[in-house]
Amino acid sequence: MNWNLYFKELRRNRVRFIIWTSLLVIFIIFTVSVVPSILRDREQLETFLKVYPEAIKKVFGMDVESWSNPLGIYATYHGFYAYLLGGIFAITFGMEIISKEENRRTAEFLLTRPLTRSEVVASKTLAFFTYIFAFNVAIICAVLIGLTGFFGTNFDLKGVLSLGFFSLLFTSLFGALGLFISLLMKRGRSLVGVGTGLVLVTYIIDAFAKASEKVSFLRWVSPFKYGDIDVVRGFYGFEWWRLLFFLGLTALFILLTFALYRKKDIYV
Amino acid sequence: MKVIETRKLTKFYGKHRGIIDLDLEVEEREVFGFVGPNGAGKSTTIRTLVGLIFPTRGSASILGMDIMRDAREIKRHIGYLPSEVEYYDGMTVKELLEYSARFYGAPLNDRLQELAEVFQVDLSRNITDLSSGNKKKVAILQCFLHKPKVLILDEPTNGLDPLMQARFYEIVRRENEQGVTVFFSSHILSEVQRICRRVAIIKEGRVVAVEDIASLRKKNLSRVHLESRTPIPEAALRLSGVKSLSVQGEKVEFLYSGEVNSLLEALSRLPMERLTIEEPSLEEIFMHYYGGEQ
Repeated sequence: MNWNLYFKELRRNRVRFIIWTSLLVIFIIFTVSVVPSILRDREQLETFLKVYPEAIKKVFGMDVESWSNPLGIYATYHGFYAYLLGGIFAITFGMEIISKEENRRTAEFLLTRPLTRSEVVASKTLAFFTYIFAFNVAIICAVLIGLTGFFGTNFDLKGVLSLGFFSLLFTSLFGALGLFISLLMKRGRSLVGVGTGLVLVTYIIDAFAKASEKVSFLRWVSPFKYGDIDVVRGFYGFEWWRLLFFLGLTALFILLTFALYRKKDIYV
Repeated sequence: MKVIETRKLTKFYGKHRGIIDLDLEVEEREVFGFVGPNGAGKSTTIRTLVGLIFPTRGSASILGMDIMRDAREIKRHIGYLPSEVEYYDGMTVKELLEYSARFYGAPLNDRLQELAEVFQVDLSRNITDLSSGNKKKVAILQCFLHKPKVLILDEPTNGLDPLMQARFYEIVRRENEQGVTVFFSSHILSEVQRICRRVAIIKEGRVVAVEDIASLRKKNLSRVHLESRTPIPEAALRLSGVKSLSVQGEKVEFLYSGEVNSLLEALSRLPMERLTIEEPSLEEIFMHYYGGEQ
């Protein structure tokens, strides 16, 4: 671990963090602010939901029961904000934090300082997870502030915290995947394209599997399945296999990143 | 103690040759030249030594420490100057040098001001705005700042103007006098000749010779020019030791590395008007090693 590198990475990535976090915080506050008007007219909501095909409703988790509860309405959007957009933020960030040294030809400077390869990975990975943690804390704070502002304390706090907990697991997994695959990619390939593509593909697989019984088995290959919780019905998702999936894969990708980078030839 | 030592150091990039069975020994306080044409394996050797790439086989040590096992400790003691320099955007020169210095756990010292003056580096400039020559000067500062015991220089004067080159040689010479060992890689022999005592010549990934600069010059290789009154038949100069023979009517030029007496004997039979026998340039000696190709 090298603190000089760690703090430099925090500094170097703060703009990216600020932009993504404020964008999501604004989305969330905006979403929560329209919740009171959805709740006000339940009849209209029911007619509104009726026009949607069953498959679409399943994909987005829209049902009358969920949508009669402020947190339920937000939770529908949480999958999109924290998982999908958060996942894209995490994977693209993860893919760049190590590989940009090669892409911008600064690796020669960094790797000839008195550092081991493992220290480079450790410092960068820790800086990365510092921001991933802060990103999820900011999201959950935005949800809490929004809900408190509109509904007082009348909502399920445990539900909000489990949404936050799973988006932390989710973004950590995609981030760790990003760290790992960036080391396999040739220099100059579009990291943002590949990262965004990976998140979208797993999202679409999950959506298809939810919409159609025939391919529902496909859900098991997408992380979205493992992060799918239902806080309105009191299902917070703390099951061993979900945690094992996220923590196990995240740890695996991080270990592989360390192992690969220790032996990687760096060309500048 | 050997400051740099490589034993059968080999690097392949997939099937492509980098370096093969490289054996080098650099003594303490030596200024050691490493010369070869582009693509011969100079940068591969250096990048292996500083830990950017890993050898396919063989081993190497710097200051008695293994380049793989003790990479971090080695890097504490080397000053590495790459041939092309790239730095982080959005930092001033001073911020970059401070950042670099913190890795060595040593704050910036008086040395910085002195070196910045010598190389005319404006510490408050943003690195992004610097030309490649000025970035190189920043790299020189950064290379010397932590008082390294070994300097590893890869085409160090590439991009520097002649005045800065002269100052650079001066600093290297001064460091060497204070006990610093220098490994100096270049494809320009005259540069190496200026500063090094010994030189290794690398060709197609292999070291073809390690010589004292002085003995390289004394290799008994001479450049002969002669002019005669009548055209000279080529057959008259078919002598062992004659190389790169060029006959243009009455003017003849060649390199000679054999017995002086037999040369004089052959020449005495010719109707000569002018004869000069001179020491060839290192470039020519170098070409001689490469069999005329570079």
